[in-house]
Amino acid sequence: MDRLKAVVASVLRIPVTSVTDDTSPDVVKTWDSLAHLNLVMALEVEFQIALSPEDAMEMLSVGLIRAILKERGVEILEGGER
Amino acid sequence: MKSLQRADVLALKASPSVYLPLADAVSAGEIEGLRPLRVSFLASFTAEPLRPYVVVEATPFGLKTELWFGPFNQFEQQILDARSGAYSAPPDVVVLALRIEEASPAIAGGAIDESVAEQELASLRERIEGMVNGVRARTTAPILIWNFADPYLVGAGLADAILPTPQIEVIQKANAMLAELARSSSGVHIFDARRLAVELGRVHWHDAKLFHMARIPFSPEAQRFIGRRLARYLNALVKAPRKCLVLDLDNTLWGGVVGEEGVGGIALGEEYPGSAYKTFQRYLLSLKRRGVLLAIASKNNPEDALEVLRDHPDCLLRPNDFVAVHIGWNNKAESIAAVARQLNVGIDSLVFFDDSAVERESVRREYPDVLVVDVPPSPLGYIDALEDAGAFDFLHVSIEDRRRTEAYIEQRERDSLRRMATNPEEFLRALEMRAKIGRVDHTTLERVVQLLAKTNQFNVTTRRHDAAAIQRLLDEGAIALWMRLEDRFGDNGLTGVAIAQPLQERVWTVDSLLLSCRIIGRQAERALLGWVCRLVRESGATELRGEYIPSPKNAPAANVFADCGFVSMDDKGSWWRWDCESGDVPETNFIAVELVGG
Repeated sequence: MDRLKAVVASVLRIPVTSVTDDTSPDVVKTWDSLAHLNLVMALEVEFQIALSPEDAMEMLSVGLIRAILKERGVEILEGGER
Repeated sequence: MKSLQRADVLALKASPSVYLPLADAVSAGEIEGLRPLRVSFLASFTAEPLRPYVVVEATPFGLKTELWFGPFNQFEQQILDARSGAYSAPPDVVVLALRIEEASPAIAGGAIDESVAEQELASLRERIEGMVNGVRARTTAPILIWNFADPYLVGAGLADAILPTPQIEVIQKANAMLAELARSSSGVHIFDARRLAVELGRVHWHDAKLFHMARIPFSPEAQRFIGRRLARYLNALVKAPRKCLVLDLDNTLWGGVVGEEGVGGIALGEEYPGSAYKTFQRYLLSLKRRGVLLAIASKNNPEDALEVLRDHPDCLLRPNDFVAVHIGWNNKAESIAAVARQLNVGIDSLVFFDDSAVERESVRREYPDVLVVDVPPSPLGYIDALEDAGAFDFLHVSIEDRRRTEAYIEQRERDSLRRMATNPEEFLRALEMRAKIGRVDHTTLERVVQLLAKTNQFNVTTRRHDAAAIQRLLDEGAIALWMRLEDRFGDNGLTGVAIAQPLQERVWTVDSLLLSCRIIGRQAERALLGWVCRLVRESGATELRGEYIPSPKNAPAANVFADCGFVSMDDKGSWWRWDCESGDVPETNFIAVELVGG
C-alpha cells in the first residue's frame, strides 16, 4: 500500500483510490488551508520527518509531496521503510 | 464504527490522518447514545486543529462535542455580538483560550519592573472580566478560561531566575488573578493550561513552523494532549462526579496475595514493586481529601486482610479511611450493591477498581452503570488509569467534600444510636439537632450549585440550576435558602437547599427543595420549608405552591408537601398548595433553628 496516498486520503477525506500524483488543491475541494496544515502535520508524524515552512509551501500536489519525501530518503511503499 | 472505548483512544497515534476520519464518524452520528455538547471556542490563536482531538477524546465520556471556533484572536467582537456564531446555536460551554503572548506581549516579553507588571495585570483583569460579563449577558453556559502557560521565550534569558520580578512570578500572579476571577463569578472555571504545558514539557508543547505558518502554537502531540484534557473538563462540567471508589485488595492495594504469602510476604514498602503500590495508596488518600469515599470489595480472609490494613507499617490506608468494607467470599457484584445500599447512593455513583479482568467483566455485566476502570497489568499505570477515567474530576472542592469520609463515619455512630433507640422520636431527640438557615450568597453559591447538581433522592423537582441560573432567579426576586445541620456527632455541613420564586402576583412556587441523603428522615425538611413559608408569607403573598416532578430516584421526596400541610391541587401529587393566611407553618420539635443574617 502507498502510505502517502493513505495519509492524503484520510486527511482530505477522499477515497484512497481517487488519489493520484496529480491530486492537488486545484482539483480537491477539501484541500483548503487548514487541510494543508493537517497534511503537513500528518506527514511529519507518519514518516517521522521534520518539514520546513518552505517544504510546506511547495507541497502543491501529491506528486510534489512525493518528490520532497524522496529527497528526505523516505520510502513510501509499505514494507520499504524499516 | 459502533463504539470508541478509552482503550481504543489511548492507542491512537497523535496525527490528523488518524483523528480526522474518526472525528468525522463520531460527528456523523455513527456511535449511538452519545450526549451532544455544543462548545463555543474563542482563542487568541488558530484553534481549529484541536477539533478532531476534542471530538474523539470526549467520546469515551459519552459526549458528542460540536465545536464552533471564533475567528482568530477575536474575543470582544464575538462576545458582544448577540448574532455571533458563538451563540447561534445555544452553547453548552464557552471556552476562552488566551495565551500570554497575545494577551500581554509586555509580560510575555519579560524583564519588566514590578509597576509595569501590576499595570499589565490590572488591565488584563479588566479585559477578561469584561469578556466574562459579556458572555454572561448572553448565555448561562459555563465558561472555561485557559490560564497562562509560561511563554516559549524567557525575556531575561538565564538571568530571569535572579531578577527581583522574574517573569515566572508575573505569570503566576496573572494565573492567581484568573483563579480569583473564576471563584468570584458564577459558572466560571479554569482550564489549567499551565499545568498541561509543564506535563508535556515546553519543548514538545510549541511548534515554531505551525505557529509562523498559521498561528497554531501547538505541536500535534500537544494538540492531542490538550484535546484529551479538555475532554475531561467538558465531562466534569456537564456530569456530576462519581462518589465512591470500590477497591480490591490483593494486587491492587499491595502486590501478592495476603492469604497465601502472609502479611510479611506482600509487596508494599519503599522498594519496587511494593513502592508502586504505596504510591498508589498515597494517591488514593489524595482522592479521599478531594471528597471521594473509599470502600473495599475483596475476596479474602477478613482476618488476614484487616491485619494488613491495621498493622502493616507501610500500609498508608487504614480501616478508618474506608466508609464500607466488604471482605469475604461473596461475588463482587453483591459487595458493590451492598456498598451502594450502605452509603445510600445510586449504583451509578460507584467506580470499581480491580486488577482482575474477570472480576471487572462480571461487574460490568451485572451493573453497566458502575464505572469499571480499565486497570493496566502494571501497578505503575494505576494512577494514570484512574485519572484518565475522569471519574473524580471536581472543578471545585468544598469544605464539605474534604471531610466527607469523617461525615460518613459520624453517620455510622448515628446509625448505632438509631438501633439503640426504642422509637424514632427518641432517636431524633437524642441527636440534639441544630439547624442554621440563611440566604444564598457568593460564599455559599458553589456548594448550593453542587448540591443541585448531584442530589437525586430527596429532591422534589431535580432542577439542575447552575450558578448563573440561580443568580438570574435571585435577580427576578426569588428566595434561595441554604441549611446547615449539626448534631451531637458532628456537623453535617451545608446539606439543604430551597428556592422559591414569585409565579404571578401574590402566588409563589417552590422551584427547588432538596436535602443531601445524609440528613433524610430527620425532619430537616420541615425546618427548611417552614422558613420558606414564613418568608413567602412576609412578602405579602397569599399562596405558595409546591411542585413534585417524579424522577427514577426521587420517591423519598414524594410526600414532603403532604407531610408539611400542603393541600393537593391535582390528585396526582404533582402540585400542592399552602395558604399563606390559614396554613400552619411546618415546624419540628427536634431541631433548634436559627436564621442567619435575617
